[in-house]
Amino acid sequence: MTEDTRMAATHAANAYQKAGQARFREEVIAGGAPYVIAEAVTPHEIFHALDIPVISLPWYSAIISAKQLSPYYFGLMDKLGYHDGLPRYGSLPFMTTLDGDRDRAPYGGLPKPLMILERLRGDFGQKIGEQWARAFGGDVPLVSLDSSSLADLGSPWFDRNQHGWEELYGSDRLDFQVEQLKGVIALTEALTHRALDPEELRKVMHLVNQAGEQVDRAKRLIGGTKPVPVSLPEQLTNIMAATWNRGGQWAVDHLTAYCDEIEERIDKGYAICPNEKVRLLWVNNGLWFNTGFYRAFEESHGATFVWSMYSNFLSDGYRKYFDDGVDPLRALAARHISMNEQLHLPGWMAEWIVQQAKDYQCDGAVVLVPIGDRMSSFGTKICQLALEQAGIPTLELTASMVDSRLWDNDAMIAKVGRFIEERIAA
Amino acid sequence: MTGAEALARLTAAYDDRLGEARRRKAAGATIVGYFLNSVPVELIVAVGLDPVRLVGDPGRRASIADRYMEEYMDGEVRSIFGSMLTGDFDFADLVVIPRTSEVYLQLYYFLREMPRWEPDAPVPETYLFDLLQSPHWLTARWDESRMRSFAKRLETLGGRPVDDGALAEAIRLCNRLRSALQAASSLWRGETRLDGIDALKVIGAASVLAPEDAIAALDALAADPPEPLPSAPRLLLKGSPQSDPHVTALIEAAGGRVVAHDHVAGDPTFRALVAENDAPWEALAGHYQRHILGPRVHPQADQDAHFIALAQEAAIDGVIFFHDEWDDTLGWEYPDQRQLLEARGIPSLFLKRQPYFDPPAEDQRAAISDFLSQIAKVPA
Ligand code: SF4
Ligand code: SF4
Repeated sequence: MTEDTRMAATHAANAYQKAGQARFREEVIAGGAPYVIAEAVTPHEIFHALDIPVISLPWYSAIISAKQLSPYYFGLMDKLGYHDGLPRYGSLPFMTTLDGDRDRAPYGGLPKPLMILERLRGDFGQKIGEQWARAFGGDVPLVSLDSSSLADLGSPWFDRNQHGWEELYGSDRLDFQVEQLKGVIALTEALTHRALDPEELRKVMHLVNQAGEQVDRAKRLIGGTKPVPVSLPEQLTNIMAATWNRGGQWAVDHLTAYCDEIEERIDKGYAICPNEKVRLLWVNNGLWFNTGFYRAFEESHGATFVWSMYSNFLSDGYRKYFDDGVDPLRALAARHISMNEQLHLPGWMAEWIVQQAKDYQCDGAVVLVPIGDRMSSFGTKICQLALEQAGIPTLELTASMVDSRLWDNDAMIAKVGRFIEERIAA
Repeated sequence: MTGAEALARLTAAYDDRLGEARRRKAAGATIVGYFLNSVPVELIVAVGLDPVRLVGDPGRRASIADRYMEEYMDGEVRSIFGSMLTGDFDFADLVVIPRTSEVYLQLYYFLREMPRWEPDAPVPETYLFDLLQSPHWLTARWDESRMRSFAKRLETLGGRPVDDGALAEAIRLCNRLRSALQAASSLWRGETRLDGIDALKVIGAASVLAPEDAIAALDALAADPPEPLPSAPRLLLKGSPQSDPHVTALIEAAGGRVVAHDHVAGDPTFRALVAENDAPWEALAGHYQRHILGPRVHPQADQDAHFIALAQEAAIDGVIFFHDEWDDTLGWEYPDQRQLLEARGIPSLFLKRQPYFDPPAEDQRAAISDFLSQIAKVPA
C-alpha cells in the first residue's frame, strides 16, 4: 500500500457526504420526514432554504452504480420492455421503485417523496416522471419546470452571466421562470405546512455565490500553477460535495479550507506529478466509474488532467449576483435557465471550453462522446473544431457511460498515450 | 377535377415537394418553411404568406453536415441539416424551427453556428418558435406571447398585421383543411381505397400545397374515390416520424396494408380542430400546446387514449412500432403502449433502433413478413 497522499479536504468531503447519507437514512427513511426527488438542473435552493432534503438524480444513480447494482436494474429494464438504446443511467433511481425491493436498493430504497421535480430540457423527463409518480402510488405530484430557449446566444456568456444575467437571458424568459418557481414554492409550502422565509432564501443565494468565489479562487490557483498541485479526482470530490450541498455554510467553509490547503501545497512546492510536461482537459461527462484514468499518464508521459466540466462550473455557471432590493428568486431563476446551453450546446459550450483551456494552461483536450446519452454528445464536434482552431489538439473517445464493462481500459490508455506522443509532445 | 386527377395532383405535390415550393415561389409567393406539426400555419396564412412544411430525405445525406453534427442526432434532422447547408430550401424566405423536440432545438443552434464555420453556405434565415407543451396555465400564457412575437416577425417579411378577425378567418381556413383530411381519411381508415403510401402522400401534400388548393383536391378525391382495394391485414404504423414512404412501402410489399399512420407526419396532423371562439390567440396557443401529437406533449395517458381510439376506428389487426436508431424518447412510452394493445388482444411488432440512412431492408422485410404471418387474420 502506498501512503494516502490525499488532501485533508478530500477526507472531510467524504466524511460530510457519509454523514449526510446517515442523516437521510435516519430522518427520511426511518423517520418519515419529507424529502424531494429532483433533477440535477433544478432549484434545490428552495428546499435548502426550507430545510427539506433533496435527492438529486445523478447522485443517487452514481450510488447505485458504485454499489455495482446497475446490471441488475438494467436487466429489469429489459424485462419491462425499455429498449437498450434509451439513456438508462439517469433512470436507475426510477427502476429501484419499479423493482420494489427495498432491501436491494441503496439506503433501503427511496420512500414516497413530497414531489418529483423535473426540468424539461430533453424530451423524456416528463415521461419518466409520470411513470415514476404512478409507481409511487399515483399521489406524488410531478412538478415539471418547462424550459424556454434563447434565440440568440449572446457571448461570451461567462463574462455576462454573473451580473448581466437579466440582459443575457432575457426578461420575458426570466419572468416565466420566476412564475414557475413561485408555483414550486407554493406547492411545497402547502404540502409541508412550512413557510419559505425570504431572508433565508436570500442567505442561501449569497452563500452559493460565496461558494462560487472560492471555486474561482481554486481555478486561479490550479490554472496558474505548474506543475499542478491537486489531482482531478480530488478536485471532483471536493467540488461535487459542495455543489450538492450548496447554499449551506458548510460548502463555503469547506471550499475555503480546500483552497487554503491548495495554497499550502503550492507554498511547499508540492506537485502531484512533479515531472509534469503536458496538461490536459477532460471535456464532457465524468468517468465516474474509473477516475483513476485521469492519472494514468503521469508516470508514462508526464501528462496530467487538470480540468473537467465540473472543475469550476460552480463558479462560472452558478454564481448570480443581485443588488439589494432585487428579488433573490429572480437570481435563482437565472441560475438554471440556460445551464444546458452553457454545458452542451454548440456555441456556448465551445466558447467556454476554449477559455477553460487557456485559463488552465492546457496543451490538449480529450473529448468524451458518451454512447447511450446522446444529449451529452451534441455539440462535441463543433467544440473540437473550436479547440483545434485555438491551437489545442483534441482526441475524441467514444464510450458507454452506462456500462463500465464496455470500457476497454487498455485500448483507451493506448489511444490517449498515442495522442499525447503524436499530437502534443511531438 | 375527377377523383383520379385530384389524387394525381396530391401525389405529384408530395413526390416533388421542393419543386412545388419553387413553383409557388416563382409565382410570387413569400414562402415560410417550417418543420414538424407544431408551427401555427394559421399565423402564416393570416399575415398573407405561404407555409410549406419541410422534411428530410433518407436519400439526401450531405457530408458537410457530418463535419459538424454528431451521428446520434435523428437521421431526419441530419438530412435536414445537410439540406439547409446545401441550398435545398433556398426558396424559403424564412425557415421556422419549433422548440417541440430537443433535436430540432439543437438543429436551430447548429444552424446558428454555421456562419462562423461555413460562411458561404446558403443557409436560409431561421426563426426559433419557442412553443412549450407542459399542460399548465402559465405555459399557455407563455405560448400565446410566443405566437404574438412570431406574428410580428412574419409581418417584417411583408405580411399584413394580424388582427383578431384575420386570425379567426385563417383558423377557419386551416380547420377546413383538417376537416377535408378527416373526410378523406375514410379512404384508408375505413373501407380501403387508398393504400398506406397514398395515404401518406395525401396527408403530406396538404402541407405543401396552398390550403385552398389542397382543400379542392381533397374534396374532389372524397367525392369521387377510387375502387376498393383487395383486403389485406390492416396495420397501424407508429413511432418516429415517417415523412418518407419507404417503411410503408416495405410493409405493403410484404402483404400488409397501413391503414393508420400514428406519428407526427401522419393522421394526428389533422386530429383536432382549433376552437373557433372569440379568443383566437388563446385558442391557437391552447391547440398547439396540448392538442397535437409530439414527444413533449403530456400527460402521456391522453396521447395513448388517442392512439387506442385511432386503432379502434381503423379496425386494425396489428401495430408496427418503428423507432429511429437513436431514439431516446419514444422508447419510454412503449411498454405502456404494448400493454394497452395486449389488453385488447392486438398483436404488435417492435422495430427499434432503425437507421434512417441505408436501412437494413432485408432484415426489416423479414421481421415484417414474420409478423404478418403470425396475424391470425391473414387471408389464406
Ligand atoms: S453535466 Fe449535463 S448531463 Fe450532466 S447533470 Fe449537468 S446538465 Fe445534466
Ligand atoms: S385528450 Fe386530446 S383533445 Fe383532449 S386535451 Fe388531450 S390532446 Fe386535447
